[in-house]
Amino acid sequence: MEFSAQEEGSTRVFSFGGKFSFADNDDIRRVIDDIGNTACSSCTIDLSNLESIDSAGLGMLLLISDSAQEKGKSLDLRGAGGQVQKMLEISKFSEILTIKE
Amino acid sequence: MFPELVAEGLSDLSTRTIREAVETRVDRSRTAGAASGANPTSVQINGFSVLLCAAPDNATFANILSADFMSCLEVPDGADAMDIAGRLAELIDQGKWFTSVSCRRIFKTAFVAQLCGRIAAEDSLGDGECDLMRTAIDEALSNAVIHGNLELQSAHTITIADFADFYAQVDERIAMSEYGNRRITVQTWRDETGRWVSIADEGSGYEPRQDRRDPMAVAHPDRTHERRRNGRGMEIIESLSREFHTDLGGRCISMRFGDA
Repeated sequence: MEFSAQEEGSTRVFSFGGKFSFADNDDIRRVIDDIGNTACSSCTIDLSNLESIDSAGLGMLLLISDSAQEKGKSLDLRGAGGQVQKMLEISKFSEILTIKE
Repeated sequence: MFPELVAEGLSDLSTRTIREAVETRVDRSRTAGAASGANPTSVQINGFSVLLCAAPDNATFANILSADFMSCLEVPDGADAMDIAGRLAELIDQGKWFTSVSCRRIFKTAFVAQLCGRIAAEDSLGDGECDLMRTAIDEALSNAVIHGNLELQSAHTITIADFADFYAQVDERIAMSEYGNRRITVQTWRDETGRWVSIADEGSGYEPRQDRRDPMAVAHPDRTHERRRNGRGMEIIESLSREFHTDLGGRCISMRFGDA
């Protein structure tokens, strides 16, 4: 998986691309660190370039969310499509996280 | 003739063919050592094309999933010919396309994507359908390798550091021959109900929960902050396949896709 981070106003936006699986735990550690360091009060994970996610990837999204919560930041997801959107639906992520189109 | 080759569907000629092919493959590996991996043996038995090879990799999988749709059986260097011949006979007797390789050879490869690409071409599946089928099969394969052959259980609530530790354990254990050499056998076939894919491991098996709901959520419906970070594999398989069932004490999962 590739990721990049930039700011959109007062929101820290992380853009994920490629395939998100268990092998990406190092990247997720960097995302979590970034969330801890940013002055932004809100964070968004943009999934529009993410091709696929597996069950481990879903678990790591929850870790990111929990970490944001611990740091007093809000976090939402946006742009999920195809297989990624289906996986979020199966796992009922809309009951746990804010998911935007 | 191998007296142990009791595969009722196979003729004497097929049994002899298996014996000769396996002996050739095993002898080649014994004399040529590691270099034998570059010289796989293919054999035709009962209408099956089977590739016998020592070190299957992405190139091997691409080859067997090409126009000929060959089956594949890993024959490691130093393998016991009787054991290999018995496995081959049993798989051919089942009449389904198969790939039977060690979990360390199939894990983290493009095998599932390649298999699904071949199935999509055979069954005229669209990209979306193929992606969802691939997701289910990927989950089943990961379960078979990690929880089946490697006998690793993931904790219910973990941190990112625990994630990294867990997957380091996976890498460590798969490198151990007693675990990494355990086989994963993938089969696929079509019947009147649709496309089936089965994945079997050589672990100790498990009892699938009858109630697939998250036991933590059931026990503590008010504790919504305790969310599972793992263990979603079976939910995903159930959602993305038309039906599935487990056999062999939990060591084999068969999933149906496609036709209703």
